[in-house]
Amino acid sequence: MTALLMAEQLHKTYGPTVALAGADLAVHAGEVVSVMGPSGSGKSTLLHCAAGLIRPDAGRVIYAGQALAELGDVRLSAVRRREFGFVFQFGQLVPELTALQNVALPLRLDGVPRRTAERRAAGLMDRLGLADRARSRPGQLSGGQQQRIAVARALVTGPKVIFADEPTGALDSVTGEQVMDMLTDAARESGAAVVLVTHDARVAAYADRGVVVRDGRSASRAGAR
Amino acid sequence: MTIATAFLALLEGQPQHGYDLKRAYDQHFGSDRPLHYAQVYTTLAKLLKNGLVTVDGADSEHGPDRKRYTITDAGVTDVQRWLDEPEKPDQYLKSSLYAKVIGALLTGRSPAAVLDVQREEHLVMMRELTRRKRGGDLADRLVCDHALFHLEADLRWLEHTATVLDQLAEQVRR
Amino acid sequence: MRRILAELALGMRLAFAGGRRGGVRTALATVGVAVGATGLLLAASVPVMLDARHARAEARSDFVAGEQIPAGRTTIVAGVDGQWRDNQIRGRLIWPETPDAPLPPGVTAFPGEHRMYASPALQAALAGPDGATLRRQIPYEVAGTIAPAGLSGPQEFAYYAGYERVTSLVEVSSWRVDRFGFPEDDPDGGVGTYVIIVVLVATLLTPVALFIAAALRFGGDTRDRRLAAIRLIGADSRAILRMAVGESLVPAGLGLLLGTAAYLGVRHQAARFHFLDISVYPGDVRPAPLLAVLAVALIVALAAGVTLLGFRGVTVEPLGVLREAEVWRGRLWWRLVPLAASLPLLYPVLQGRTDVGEGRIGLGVILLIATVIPLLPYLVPLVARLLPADTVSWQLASQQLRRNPASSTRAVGGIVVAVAGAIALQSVFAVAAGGPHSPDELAFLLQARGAQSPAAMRERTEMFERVDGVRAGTVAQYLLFGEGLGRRNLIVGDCRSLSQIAVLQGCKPGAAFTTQPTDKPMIVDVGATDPVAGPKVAVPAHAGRATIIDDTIGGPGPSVLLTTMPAQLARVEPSFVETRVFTTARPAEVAGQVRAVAAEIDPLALFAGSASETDPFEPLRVALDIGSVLVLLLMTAGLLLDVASRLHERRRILGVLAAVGARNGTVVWSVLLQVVVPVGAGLVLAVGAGAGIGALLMRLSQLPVTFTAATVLTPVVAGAGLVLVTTMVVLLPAVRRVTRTEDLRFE
Repeated sequence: MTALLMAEQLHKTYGPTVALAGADLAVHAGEVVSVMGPSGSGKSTLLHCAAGLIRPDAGRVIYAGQALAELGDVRLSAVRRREFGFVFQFGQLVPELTALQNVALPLRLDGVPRRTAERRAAGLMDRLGLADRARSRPGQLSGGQQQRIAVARALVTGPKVIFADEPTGALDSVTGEQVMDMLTDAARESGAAVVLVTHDARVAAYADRGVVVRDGRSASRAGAR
Repeated sequence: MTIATAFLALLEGQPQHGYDLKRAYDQHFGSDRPLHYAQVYTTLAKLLKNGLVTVDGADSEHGPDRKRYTITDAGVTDVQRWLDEPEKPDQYLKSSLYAKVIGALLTGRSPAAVLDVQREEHLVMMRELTRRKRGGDLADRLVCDHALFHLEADLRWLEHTATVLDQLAEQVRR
Repeated sequence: MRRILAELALGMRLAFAGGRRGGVRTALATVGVAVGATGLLLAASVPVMLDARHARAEARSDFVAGEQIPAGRTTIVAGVDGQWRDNQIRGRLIWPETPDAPLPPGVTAFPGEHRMYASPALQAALAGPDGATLRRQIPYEVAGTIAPAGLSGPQEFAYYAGYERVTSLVEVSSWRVDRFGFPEDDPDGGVGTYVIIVVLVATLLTPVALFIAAALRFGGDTRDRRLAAIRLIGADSRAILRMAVGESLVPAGLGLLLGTAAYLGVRHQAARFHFLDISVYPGDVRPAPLLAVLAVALIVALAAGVTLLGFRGVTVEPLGVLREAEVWRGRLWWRLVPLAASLPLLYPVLQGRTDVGEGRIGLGVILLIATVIPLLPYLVPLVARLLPADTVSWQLASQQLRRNPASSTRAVGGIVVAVAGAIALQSVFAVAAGGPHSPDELAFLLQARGAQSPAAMRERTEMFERVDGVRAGTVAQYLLFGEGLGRRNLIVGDCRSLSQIAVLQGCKPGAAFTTQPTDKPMIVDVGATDPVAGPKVAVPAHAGRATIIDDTIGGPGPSVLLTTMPAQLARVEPSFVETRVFTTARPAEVAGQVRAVAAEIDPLALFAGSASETDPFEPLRVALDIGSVLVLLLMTAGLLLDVASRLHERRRILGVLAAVGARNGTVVWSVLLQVVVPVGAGLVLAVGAGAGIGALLMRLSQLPVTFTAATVLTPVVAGAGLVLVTTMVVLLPAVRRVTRTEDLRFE
């Protein structure tokens, strides 16, 4: 079976710092893959390259048979909007918008009319048990609640791949587990694959298999079991 | 890890006399329990019988401790098999895993690969525990969490060891 | 006390330790303070400058105020003030009655006949381009230069010419003085001019204050983190405030130094400028001590005040900076306080009174200008709510404008003030300058004396008509003897000349006209000063009807207009011989030559330009134009700083938006709208405030209250255009950089 998303031999340097030196990543439809590694190993850079957020200096990323590098900014943005979802560590919600408006944002960005977008967002938040928070603004929510709103936002467009970059990095272990339970359950339910960058082994254990990045290289064979 | 595997690992670095083997073993693997000479020669005899080492006969007239032992191809394969096989993640992991790292260093193999194999084994275990935990009640969760936190501690040690491998290599080479 | 000083000093050292952003902040605040300090010091110098000028004017004054001084050790003087382009010319024809007669200040000896002492500026103009035309107006040979003691300023046009004929015209065109240095009224421009200058200064300096505030805010987050680190090692929260104040004193101090240097530079060059016919010697430019101290205190207080205000709602804790979530309370009442305070102060003016104290009006107007600053943050969320939030970019922008209007509008306040002031002043200047000159309007009037034959009058008309684009007409006016109130006028001139002052039906040589039926014979008054009965002239029986159209002629009674000179008047000297000059060109273009002709006819004749040859507010308008552009540039810089800070604060959010697939355009638009909407709302407010202040100023200057689209829209378009262009050019690349998802790295 060919992978949904394939990153091959990625290289990326920031000035004198080598972030990636030939990293690989393959993600199959519907699976949860963890990317682990010590800080500075390049695991976030690997995620950013794979998600088309940054362009690698060398190597290629192929999503659904299409090389991301060949897409222009407009089509690449459209892929990120429709096919990908994102959860970051913190500070990702627009503080002036309500939770509902934040969740509806990716749909709005894709041109869905406001009412329709917010109705779909409200339905999703209802299913995820977040309905009572819909009218709050991010400043009024705890860190865990904010992350769950962010997960809802990542899911709202029905993406094929969700990229989560240290999604529990700013949370305590119990809250982190709740967010991970919600993320992996919802992803499995909708059939979305998850790429989970974390330095925390217990978070990585939510994955079906793991990849380790060290010194900008994928260090271990992606031995699924 | 057995004394036999340790001797093979030591011999893969270079052919040695029995006396040197004992000294090297004591230094790297047996810090609190030095080997008896009897153990050394019975182990070497067993290795000879299995065809994993050969004796370099040049100095044979000077007694057993003057014999030089050399590893055979079968011996090298045996060392490789040992290093490739991850340890079962349990709480006595440290000593045997540490021995493997030293073994890899002594034989010029990659200690990082040893650690990676072990990490993967740990992660597989952790995934299994996480799956069980998510399906279970609170008691199951707590039991699984206990194991998970221990495994996580092992993993941290693995990561830590991985970052000091260069230093360790230098020390072993000395 | 020592500890407090040490804390201030530590703060000052920190001003140089802020990295690149800290450096930018110190540099910009310094520039702002320098501009403000230069302006304030110059403003503080104005009273001293005007006093010095007034003292010089009084020292040479020959204004006897009607007093008749008996002959003795006296000098006879005649005033022959003229004009050359934008410059008033103070001319005096003098002749001593005794060798020890008083000399005017700045002159070392009496000039001989047709020789003169002239000011350096006048001599330069005589030698300059078209000096020959000026020489016709002042046909005297230069005998010497008037020393500074005799001039009001270095750029003044002035001369004293020896002219013996003045001795025969005492009490007619000339008068005796026994000294120079009579008291003179302060040449006060009136309340209107005073308030216009107040508005000008306030319009230009308020934005500078706001700019300084914006500059000091730039990079404030870095500063706060640094202060948090200092708290960690044991400083208390008050000490932190003192360090922050100390840090802000660095740009204040540097700016004061720079501003003083700029002020000294301007002062050094002061002699080269002239402004509203005022030029000053550098020695006369020095700040009034009290005002200078106030200016310095104001700047230091502003720097410290802005810093302390910035800590409102911010707590610097050892482990970080806590910012109280800014909860926007859109309360209106206190925002109306400046407006409410200004209206009672200005109420009498709105009623049409102009005799109100200057201080009161000045304060009222400044408050009225300041009104826009607190009103703007109230207006912007209103506008944001009214516009439908259909696109994502506007949803993002409008939510931010509604949640946090104070931060979105603080940089716009200065632009609004500058534009409001510019609208007000431009409107006033446009009305004051008057409309275009009509060829049928009287441009110049020459009133001379002496017996006139019809031929001589025709010759006088022709002398003026030799100037291109000029029509003229000359009439003789006679006062009549023994007529009281409602007395009649007798006017003699040819048909062409008479038809310039009255509507005549069927004029031909020999015709006569009256404005009202009258038949009593007229006795001409031939006395030079006291009435003396002269020849009698009958009112012709066949006189036609005339209607006077020139209100400068005659008296209130009926006028009799004759087209032929009655024989008995041939030897009688008319009371006035008036030559009216009209032009199809702009009066300013022909003024030099017309004045030359007038001076050639008789330098002692009264000559007046009735149309404005110059726009009295021209220099103010130039100052306003230059000032507005500078202030708008400064404001735009402030706005960019502010937006850059906000982008910096929000770079994560913008990066995440880009990551989840927002098009670049969406993010750019949301940022742009956050700038454009407050500026737009502010400009609407500026039009309202500017028109209000403009109307007030027109009332004060007793001008008709009128506005033209050009004067209102030019500042608006300039403000909006400048903001938009700079925002596009400078901001968009910054937005692009922020939304480059590469910056999402945060490990």
